[in-house]
Amino acid sequence: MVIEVSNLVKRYGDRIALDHFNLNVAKGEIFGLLGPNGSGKTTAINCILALLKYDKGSIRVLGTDMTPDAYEVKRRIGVVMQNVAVFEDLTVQENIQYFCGLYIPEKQKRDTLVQEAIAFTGLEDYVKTKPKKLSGGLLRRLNIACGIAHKPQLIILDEPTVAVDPQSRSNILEGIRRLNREGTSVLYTSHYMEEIEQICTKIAIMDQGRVIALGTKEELKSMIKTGEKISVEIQGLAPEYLASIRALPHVERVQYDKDRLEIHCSGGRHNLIEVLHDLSEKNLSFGRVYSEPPTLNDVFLEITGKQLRD
Amino acid sequence: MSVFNTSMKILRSKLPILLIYVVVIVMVSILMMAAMGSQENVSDTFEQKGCAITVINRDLGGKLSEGLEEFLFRTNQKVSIDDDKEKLQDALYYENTAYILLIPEGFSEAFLAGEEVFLSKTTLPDSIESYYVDMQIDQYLNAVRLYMQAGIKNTEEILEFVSADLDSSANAEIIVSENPNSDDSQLHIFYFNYLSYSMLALMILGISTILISFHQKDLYRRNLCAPIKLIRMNGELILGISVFAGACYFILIGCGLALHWEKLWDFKLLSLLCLNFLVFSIVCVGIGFLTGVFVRSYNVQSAVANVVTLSMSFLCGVFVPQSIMSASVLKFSQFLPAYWYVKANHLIGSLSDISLEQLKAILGCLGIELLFAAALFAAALAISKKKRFMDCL
Repeated sequence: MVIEVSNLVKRYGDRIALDHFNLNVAKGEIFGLLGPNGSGKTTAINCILALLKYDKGSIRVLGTDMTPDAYEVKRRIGVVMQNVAVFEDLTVQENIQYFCGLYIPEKQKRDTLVQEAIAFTGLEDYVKTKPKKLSGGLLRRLNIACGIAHKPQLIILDEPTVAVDPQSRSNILEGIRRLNREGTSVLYTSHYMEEIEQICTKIAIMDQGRVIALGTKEELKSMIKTGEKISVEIQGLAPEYLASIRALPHVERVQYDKDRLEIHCSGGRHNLIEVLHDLSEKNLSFGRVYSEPPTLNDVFLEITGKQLRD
Repeated sequence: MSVFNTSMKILRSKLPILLIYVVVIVMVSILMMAAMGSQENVSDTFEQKGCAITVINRDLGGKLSEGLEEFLFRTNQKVSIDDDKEKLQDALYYENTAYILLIPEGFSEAFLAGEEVFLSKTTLPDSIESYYVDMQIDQYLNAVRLYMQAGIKNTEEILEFVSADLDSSANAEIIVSENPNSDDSQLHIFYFNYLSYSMLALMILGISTILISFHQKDLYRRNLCAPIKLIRMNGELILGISVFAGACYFILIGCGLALHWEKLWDFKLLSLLCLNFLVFSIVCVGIGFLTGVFVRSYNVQSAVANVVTLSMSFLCGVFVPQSIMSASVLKFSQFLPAYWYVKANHLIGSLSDISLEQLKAILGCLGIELLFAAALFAAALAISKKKRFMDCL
């Protein structure tokens, strides 16, 4: 295990931020920590990095107890914070040199690593640019370059794609996958379920300071009743028809709002055909039809009764 | 040495702003030299000087009035104008003459007879020279009256005695002191006083720039994730600040010496002034440190730099001499370190010879400056520690 957290408790006065929080990240994993804002993800990361004192529990990183003076462990960790942490007065290259210099004392080796980090994040055209002249996406890439330049064994990324355009987000996610392929273990936090689904090999869903579900995305989705969500664009649907749709086999939940009918079904191979057949029988004309497999939001919704982005 | 190198790079990015304060001191010293150059021919001999006067003598044939006229023209320039009211007024208006004395008809006879007589005068408004002419007239007539009271009756004899008396002069030697408040020491004091303004501005801007950068909450936390001990990081920061302060100290003194070597080079005076400036530089580092701990934005930083440097310079006698400042302002200024720095500079400037008593007064000022520095560092450290504690909750 590269990270072992057991029974971590962190309180801010009367408010409990981490409530017997447990986490195990295996070597070579991209571990996703998913949860809504305020669920305790960043607090957990700060405790793991020994930036915050905690009330109870234990944290081991790369086989060593994590403390503020665990410098040998810190040397093997890369950190990309939620907020961009760079020097405004330094250029892109100088910023990466600074952070790499904190880990790698040898100048020659450091210079090589800095160039590799610049190439990795695609910042070659901006080496002499100061951060305030970079776009949000480029700034995030610089933040990542500063965190990974020293080629760590473990990278902790805390919501690295907040306020990033889709293209930059895609580049960042691809970069993380590439790092993982090169042997780096990753702990990735986000409240964007799509990102977590896209890159993580194992996922923990957090709410109110606790891990409420853990597993691969397939394992998580199989935990819930919802197997498929069918959406149909249909106008003026009378309430009695909703009752007949609810009576169909495998239908768990039906919602009709703003000319959109949403049918949540449990497992079953022919749910869509059965719904369409029923609508045709009743001579109801409908527009576009969508069928979606369950998402992590459905998992979260079913476990907590609220949306991930509530 | 990543932290040290980065602190130097941060300062380099602020170099244009920092250089302004070096240019200010250079320009001020050049202007001061130019102003002093125009006063360079200070005489070490005394020469009596007079003013342009006109005497309208209506007492024709009067021996006393002729004697008075002759006496006045010995030291004053004679301006001849006709006895015409309009012409006399024009002469005064165009400042062709500064003093018009009108001796009335029968003046000599009446004066020598002991009667009350009056001389009338017209002068330029607020003319200082006119007082000297008044004094000369009083001096002459009093001397005549003295001989008359002594019982001498012969007018010619009296006028001869008076003329001889007023002609006599005593020799006096003018000694120009080598040191106290000479022009050279004035330049020293002025230059070193002004250095405090530049040094204070440089330290506030430079040190707070470094500290604001490194103490940004996110950056500070990011640094804590790195495998570098906090003590080492702080050590490198202190080294960076010390190198910057040292460089500013030598550059500011060096600029003065390079530009005005001949005027400023006086080993005894210079070494004491440099010592005082070194102590004040430590105070400036303390103020810069405190500003860096308090301020978290570059906009606020430049506002603080301007307010602190200008107010301290005005209140403590950097721009305006302490000697012309009111007692109440000076009383308040004593709570500011620049007051003691300026005071020490003046004490050093007025040293004719180094004595224990004089050194005690100077060292007292330096001691107070050091106490200010200690208080500033203690306050900055306490606030810094409290802020970090709050961040780690």
